[in-house]
Amino acid sequence: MASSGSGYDLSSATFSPDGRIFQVEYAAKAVENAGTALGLKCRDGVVMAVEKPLQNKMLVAKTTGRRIHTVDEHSGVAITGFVSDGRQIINRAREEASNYEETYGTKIPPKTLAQRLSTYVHYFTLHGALRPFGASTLVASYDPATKSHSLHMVEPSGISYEYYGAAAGRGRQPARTEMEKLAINPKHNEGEAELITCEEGVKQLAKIIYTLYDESKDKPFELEMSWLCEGSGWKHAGVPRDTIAAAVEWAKQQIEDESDDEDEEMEE
Amino acid sequence: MPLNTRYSLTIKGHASCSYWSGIQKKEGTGLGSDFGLVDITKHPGLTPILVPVSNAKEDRTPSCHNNQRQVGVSPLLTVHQVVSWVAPPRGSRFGLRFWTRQITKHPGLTPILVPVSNAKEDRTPSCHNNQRQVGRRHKSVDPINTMSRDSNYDHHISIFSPQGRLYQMEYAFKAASSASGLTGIALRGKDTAVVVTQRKVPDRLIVPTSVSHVHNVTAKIGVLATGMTADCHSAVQRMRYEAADFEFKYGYSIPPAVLAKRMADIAQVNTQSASMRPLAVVLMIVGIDDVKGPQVLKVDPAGHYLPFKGTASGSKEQEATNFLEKRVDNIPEYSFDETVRTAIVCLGSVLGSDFRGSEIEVAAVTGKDGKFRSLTEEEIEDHLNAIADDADS
Repeated sequence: MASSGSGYDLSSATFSPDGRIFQVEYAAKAVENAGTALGLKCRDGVVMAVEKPLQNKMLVAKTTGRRIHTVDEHSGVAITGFVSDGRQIINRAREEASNYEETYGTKIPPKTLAQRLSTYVHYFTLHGALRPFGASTLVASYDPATKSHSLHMVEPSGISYEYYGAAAGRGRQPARTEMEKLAINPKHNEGEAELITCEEGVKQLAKIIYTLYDESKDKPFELEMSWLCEGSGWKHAGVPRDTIAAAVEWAKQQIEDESDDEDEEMEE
Repeated sequence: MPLNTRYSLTIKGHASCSYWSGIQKKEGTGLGSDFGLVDITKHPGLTPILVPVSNAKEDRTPSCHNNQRQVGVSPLLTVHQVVSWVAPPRGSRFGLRFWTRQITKHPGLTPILVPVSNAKEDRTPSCHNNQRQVGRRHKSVDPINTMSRDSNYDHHISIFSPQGRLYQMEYAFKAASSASGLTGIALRGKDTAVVVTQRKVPDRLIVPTSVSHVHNVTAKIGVLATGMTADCHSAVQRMRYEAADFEFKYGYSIPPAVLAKRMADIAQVNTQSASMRPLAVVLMIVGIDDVKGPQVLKVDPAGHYLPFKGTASGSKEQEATNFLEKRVDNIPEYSFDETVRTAIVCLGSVLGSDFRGSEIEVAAVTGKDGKFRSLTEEEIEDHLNAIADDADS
């Protein structure tokens, strides 16, 4: 079995003898090395957060190199992985959204937008002359027709699902474990009313990001957050800076408290 | 004795083929020591080739090997090689003997034993007859990864191998049946066509309704797409486009067989093109034809399509097909309930376990005016209960 590539990993147009496409798997690895991106579907909206490692102290961190972008009034997209690849996906998403509205007269439904992006991304896994995108995309969107909001994630392979909580990038495994503990899945809680709100979601995402961050190992980073919720009038917008700052304060406090509790337990 | 020094290499008696690089020296022996080797009879069909590779700055010319039976030069290895073809021991499948080989002392030569396939289809004519042939390194595991000069190029793109096989297409089949690990079953009765498959949600954080392998294409046609998920979604999108285009051009909705033929033709193009790979998807198209009634057609990565009374795809395809074959005479007369329940029972028997309504997907289309739709969890539970009652009674 050629499980180590060995010649079958040179192009997207090649299957390995055991039926894998290595280029697509390698593209997923490129995403795994990048900053964490998280998305949460809350009761009254969707929240997204991206950890943006700062390569250079001279960067104007807050406004440049953004990883969350608005696609249309009612949808936003967060990227992680190769940001330049991500920019292509975002541009395509904007074209799809505006094209749909011109043709059909309504805002593009969330599922359709995710599907269009996943078809686009998948196309690059078919041709030998092209390489797959090295970026995962989280799509937060609201459907005015059905008054429902949703979160989708499109991976470099072109697979896309709808999520209650999605994570991509470096810290995705521990992030997923943390997210499963939150009240976001109606089946595991007592129905819709018990789910967390966006305000709470912002804090929880900040906490997850800071829990995963290791000062000694990781670069300093800028936290970008956005939401699409009732509070923002169902328009995709950046979370206000002071809300983020407050959430970060809360998160740091929580983390300290928890480690104090652990220390106490250990002493006992 | 460290590598890359002078040594001589002899193989006595049963030698074997397990590939390694470098030499294992048995304690207490000097030059010409035996190797710790694996019995080749445990690897039927593999013939070892001893391939020394020079690491020395000076290359040796082939002339220094002229009293050895030099057999073929693999294009993969960069410098001269002495390739000794060593035959399997007496009494094995090929009935030839090992003979010892003494490679004259070459500094910096590291022997590498490389398995070569002796499978029938990979032999060229008159190979192995006079022991001068060697090394179609057709399925060899190449320890020196010189990918671009790989002679197995026919494994990499959609061109014919010398034996007339399309390896990329075969690998696509493998990907389609094993990638998702699911099994799907399609069945047609008197006036109903049904598809059944498992619903495996990969992650607890995923909304379960977004994980579905059953898709609507037109009002009367639906498809079960198994294989690599992204390829499946792409194929379904294409199907929807083709169906809509047909209706726009010709003014009536596309019959299932025409749609299947169209998808098969599209799939075939990728098997003939170097730049695109086949889609690793098996499509089971079910629908109601206005004239012929319920139809089930299967389209595979090679571009075949065939109509079926009942068929299966995915990892347990063979067992499911056997199950259906036993009932093939009765299937065309089944009512809606019988068709659905037979399909569910078939899936249960090949998976060897019972399931709940939330763990399988069932979709069907019935009658001339029917619409293809997925059954709800309650309806599936009702069918499961009816099956259990029948089993009890």
